[in-house]
Amino acid sequence: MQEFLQGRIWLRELLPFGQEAVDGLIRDGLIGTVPGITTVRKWHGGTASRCNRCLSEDARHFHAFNCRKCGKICRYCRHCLNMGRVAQCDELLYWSGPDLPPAGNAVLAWKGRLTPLQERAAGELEESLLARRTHLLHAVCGAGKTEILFGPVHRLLSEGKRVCIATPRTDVVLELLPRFEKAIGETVIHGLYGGSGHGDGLAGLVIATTHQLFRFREAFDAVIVDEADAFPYSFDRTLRLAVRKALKSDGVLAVVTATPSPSILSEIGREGRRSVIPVRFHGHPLPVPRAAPLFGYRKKISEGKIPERLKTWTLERLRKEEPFLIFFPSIPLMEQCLPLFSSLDAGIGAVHASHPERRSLVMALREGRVPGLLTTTILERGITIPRLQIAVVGSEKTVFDRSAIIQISGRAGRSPEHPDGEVILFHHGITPEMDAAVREIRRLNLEGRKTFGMPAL
Amino acid sequence: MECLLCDSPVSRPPTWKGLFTDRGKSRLCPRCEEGFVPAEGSPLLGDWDGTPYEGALDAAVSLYVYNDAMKNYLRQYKFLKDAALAGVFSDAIRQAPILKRRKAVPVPMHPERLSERTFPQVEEMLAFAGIPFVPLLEKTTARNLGKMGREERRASEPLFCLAENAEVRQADYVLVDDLYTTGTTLHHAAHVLKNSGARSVAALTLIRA
Repeated sequence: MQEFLQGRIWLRELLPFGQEAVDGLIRDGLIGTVPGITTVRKWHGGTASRCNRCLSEDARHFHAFNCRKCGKICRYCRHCLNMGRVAQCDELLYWSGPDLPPAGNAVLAWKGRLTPLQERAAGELEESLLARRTHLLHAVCGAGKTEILFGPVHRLLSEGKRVCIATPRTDVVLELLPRFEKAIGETVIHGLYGGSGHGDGLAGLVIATTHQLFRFREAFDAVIVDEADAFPYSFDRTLRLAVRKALKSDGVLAVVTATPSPSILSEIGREGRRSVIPVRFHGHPLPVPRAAPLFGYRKKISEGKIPERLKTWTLERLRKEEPFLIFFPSIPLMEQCLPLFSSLDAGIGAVHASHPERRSLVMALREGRVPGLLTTTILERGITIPRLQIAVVGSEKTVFDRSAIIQISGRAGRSPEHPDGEVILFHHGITPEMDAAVREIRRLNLEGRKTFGMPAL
Repeated sequence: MECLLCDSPVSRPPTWKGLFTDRGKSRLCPRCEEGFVPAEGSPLLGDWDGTPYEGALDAAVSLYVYNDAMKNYLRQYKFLKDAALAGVFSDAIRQAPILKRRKAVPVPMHPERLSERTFPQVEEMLAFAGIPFVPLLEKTTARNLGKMGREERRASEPLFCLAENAEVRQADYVLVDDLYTTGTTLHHAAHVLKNSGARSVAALTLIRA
């Protein structure tokens, strides 16, 4: 039972063990209990409910009902409902006995080579993690972030520490898991995301979505948050609290991102270290997005016409047979556009978060079976397709903030053979966020040129 | 306000009525609402002809068909025990004509299952809709009909008895339940009420499977 419960915080009803065994361990003081929901005093003197699993204190997340189990008016948390309901009369259990070290003796099986910049960053990260100092790894899209992590993660594992790589997106977990399994041998690695199961044994390395960290408590010596700027981590306070909760009291936090937001910077704090990799692994500069006016595009589209500039751009891509992505701010607008684009080329498809064939459509684009895709911001990260050309329609909308535009631009020119690609922002008025994104990319390119002697823009 | 099912923000134009009452304000976003398809026609009661339960039910109405949206709703409401979802169909239930001039009787749960579920799902729905109801029945078996086959269900032992101190009058009753599958539950319940002197017994279910 210790293997399962150590570092976790779990609803008593959902524990896969007999209740008598659990009661025995509670009496022996090896398992601690807390009520599911507690009432906390706020700074303004009022009270609020707090869910002890997800740490939400938002009144909208709690619902009170007449409970027939405890016979009272009982509150439960709707925020983490999908993990099994936590109500006021439920008990959460955690392991409070002495900790076991994770099994196995990790071996670094990865034999690739790092660029000098990657190597420097990896060294700095490892140093910070060992000195228990928060660290920010700011590496541009396509800098090879995962490879940088192998060394430091292996070092921590070989010292018998438990490490977690957390990321807001399930897609990223699915991508990282096989790479780490290949790179680091002789250790238990768990990949946790919604619907993944809980894994067997005591894992040294856990690769999980940030949501899954709700289920952990004082578990890890180090948590590395990857893609920390992605939705919903950047918006949801409880996810940041979950990361803190999953850390041991002397644990250390590291953040990996391409676009550090002010909230990430504040999380790192003053004493945190920072390493910056301003160039991609192939040494070429990031493509700088170009703004192009597309005034009144919404009206034009609802009239059933593709705005002229967008049409020219798309036809040009089709003629040159370059794969392209066109980002839209919302699903309805994208679906309105799909038939219009289909009349240009019947192969053009559209993807969004709940699209059943999302993966296969992206594969088709990569293999050249479809000429291009319309998409929402769901494809803003994690996509690597050579020669990809990018257009953003309605880049003035709030979903396209600074970090989204930087990420989207990072999709272009990722392969060493075709290091340039076009990123064009079709807008109905330039926003400060667009300016900030362009400025940031220019700054990074400038910095990169200094370190590497790259050609000027 | 956020949608109860998908958590996306819902904004509707303010109305004068909305200032004074929550009635008629949907707790769902339009997208989620579209997923629920109203059922047409009524369940076939003729299936029960020739059994002891023939004629136990005088009428039956279901509000929605059992589709994926409904399946997800029931999963969240009953399996994840999300009691807040009891109010989702309040308006539809309140407007059901079959409830007019009839006394509502919720189909009860077995006490054991009730303490597992922590709330009685049908009674919660009626309470949210503001419909007065009388708990006349008691469930005698904790077995789950959902795990039985069609024939097994029909041949099962009586599922209900009258509750203690229950007073069945010479009146019109309407049984309320969440699902109508083969109608076993409702026929058994109606049979008990009829035998105790009810004038007529109708049934209202949220879903017809």
